[in-house]
Amino acid sequence: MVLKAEQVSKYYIRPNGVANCFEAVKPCDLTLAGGSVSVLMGRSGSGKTTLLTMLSGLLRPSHGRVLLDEKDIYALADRELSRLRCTHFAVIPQGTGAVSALSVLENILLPFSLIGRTADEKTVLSVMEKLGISHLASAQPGELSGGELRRMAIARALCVKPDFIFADEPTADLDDENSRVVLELLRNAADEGAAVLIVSHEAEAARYGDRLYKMNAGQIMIP
Amino acid sequence: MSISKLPLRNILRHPGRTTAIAILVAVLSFSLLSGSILVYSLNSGLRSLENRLGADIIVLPDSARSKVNIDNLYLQGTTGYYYMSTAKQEEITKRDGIAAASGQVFLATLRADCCSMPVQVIGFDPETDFTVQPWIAERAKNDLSLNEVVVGSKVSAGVGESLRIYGISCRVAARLDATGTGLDTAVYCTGETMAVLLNAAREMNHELKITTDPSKVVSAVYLRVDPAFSVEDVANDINIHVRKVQAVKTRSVISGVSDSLGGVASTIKALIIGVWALSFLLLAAAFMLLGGERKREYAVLRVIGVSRKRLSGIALKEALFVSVLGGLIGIALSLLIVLNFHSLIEKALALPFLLPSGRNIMLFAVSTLVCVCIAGPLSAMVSALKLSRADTGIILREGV
Amino acid sequence: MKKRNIVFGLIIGLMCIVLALGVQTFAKPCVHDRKLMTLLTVEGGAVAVLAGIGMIRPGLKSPFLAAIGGILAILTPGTLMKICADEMMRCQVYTRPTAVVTGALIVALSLVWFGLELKHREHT
Repeated sequence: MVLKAEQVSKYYIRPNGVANCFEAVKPCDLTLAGGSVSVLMGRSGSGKTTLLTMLSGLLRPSHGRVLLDEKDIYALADRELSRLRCTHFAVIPQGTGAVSALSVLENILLPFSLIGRTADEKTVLSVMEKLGISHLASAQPGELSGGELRRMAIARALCVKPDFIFADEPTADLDDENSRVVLELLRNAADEGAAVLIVSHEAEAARYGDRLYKMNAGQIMIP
Repeated sequence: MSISKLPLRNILRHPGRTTAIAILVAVLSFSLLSGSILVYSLNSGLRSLENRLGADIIVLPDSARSKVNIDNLYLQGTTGYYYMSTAKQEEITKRDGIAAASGQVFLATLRADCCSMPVQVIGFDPETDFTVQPWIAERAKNDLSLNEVVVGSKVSAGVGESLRIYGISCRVAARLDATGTGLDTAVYCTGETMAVLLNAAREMNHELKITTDPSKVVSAVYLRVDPAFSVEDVANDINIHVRKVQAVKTRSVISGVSDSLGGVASTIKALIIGVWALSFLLLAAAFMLLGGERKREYAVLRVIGVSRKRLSGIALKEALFVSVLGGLIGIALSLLIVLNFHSLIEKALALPFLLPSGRNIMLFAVSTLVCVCIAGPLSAMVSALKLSRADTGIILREGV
Repeated sequence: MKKRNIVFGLIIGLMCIVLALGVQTFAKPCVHDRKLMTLLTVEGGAVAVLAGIGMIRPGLKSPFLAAIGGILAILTPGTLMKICADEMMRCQVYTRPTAVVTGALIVALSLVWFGLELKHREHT
């Protein structure tokens, strides 16, 4: 599967700003193909997260198209796009993304109930083990630290074995050892056929990528 | 864990949040059910009063005015005793426009052995009576014989038991249905039994001053007016031409009660509307605040592939579950309080008050539950739609 | 002290005060039936003490015994002790409803408290 961004851009209208039209992402092209890790680097506020959310079907671009196997994903109805997100995409959002009423394991298994697939117990346990959260399976998100919650979100994305993984600052709250494990797991997912896009401002992430992109003031550049 | 179980899990895992919203919904259901039962009870009390007042005019001796409030004659029971001679009854009966007339004798006991409160004994003439016997006939199979009585629903004596009134043992032949009025504390007997009771009372109670033969007195004369005459004219005619009596039109008693009842019912309805409007707004605000607080959580669900429709469904289902919980709490509290304190409410309102039957109460309870189950999710609708329409990307970008 | 125990203890305590003081004041029984009045006050007081213990030393005993106390309060006027049979008398209009309503609320709250304690115990 190939995901292609064609001249996608995003601008926001600031109601009382001096320059009331703010262009977060300037028209750009990007292609994500299975089996590779793409790393998108850049300073804070350069438009990395906006581009990632547009590619992952979560934010409609102001202009341009996002094509999955030549099909514009934003031309789909919300139901179909949601279905596509849960079957082919997995997003690791910034910050702590947990459903507070569910335990850690239930949070990880939640996408399976949407797909209607039974989780492979071995895979889930092994991913949790590698991320060092297997002992937290029955814990509540409220009892976890920021780093643990981050690893839970990563496990949730990896366990469903999606075609595309969008990781927004996956190593932000992690120590060096855990950062290395996470990046290795993302690399492994790509080696197993997934297309991985990592948004990061940490140089370490670039070592695991096949392709490196830089973003500056909403403009994408290939270094 | 299936996603369909998520609303229930959200409720169970956040008891504080759930309790706060459930209390608001409980206020809604409590006010609706209690108000409905009160308004219904007042209306059926009035209907039963209308049914039981079979006469167009009641003529009382002037002395009655100092003993009872004539307007409240049937609401709180007539605990006084006042008499006029049967000659006066004959004089009244001879006036023009009277189709039927029957005298009744009242006797108030200060203490009967059935209970420690005064009981009103009403003696009627079986040959001329047209007001009491129709509804006694619904309960008593045979005519009442000497020292036999029929008791109102609130007189605690069972059928076949004996009731001692002024030392005379009277057998209870039947119990009447509740009316929600003072008639429920009355004991009915024939004029013959009444004469015996009056004699006994005269010996025991010094205040009871009947100088003539007890069988020759009446307390009130009930009149049915000939359709060719107007009730107003006949009542005026009696008030002008028969001395020392007062003719009261029963319609005016009922319309007086109806007016007060209308006032009380309107107040209750206004209160229900006020409470509902306020609670609904509070609920909507609570769901809105809650939605803001859970924006990030909803965004996570969107990220993993939950559609907008499904997300709204989760929020509405959660509101529905809390509404059912709160609704049931409110209903249980309402039934507990209204059914237990109904006598106090009746006393405080001083209006005919007849509780609905068990079946009707159930019907009211179910309707209330349906109402709050619609109102709860409806108040959550705006917040649910707003959340599901919000751009997930923007929420994630905000990094809340 | 856990927040849950404080909340339940305080609400049940409040119900007990309404019961114990109510039967001495606004819900006084007919002809000031001393026995009934005293018994209901003692029951209210005893449940209040249990609620207090439950707040300080959480466990299953206090809510369970408080529920029994509530049931006793419901049954005292009419079933355990005779009251006026007439529906319009004070003990029927004020005393019994006050005892039944407060008793029922004590039972309901105690059972919820008991259930939560039980769940908490299973969890730990």
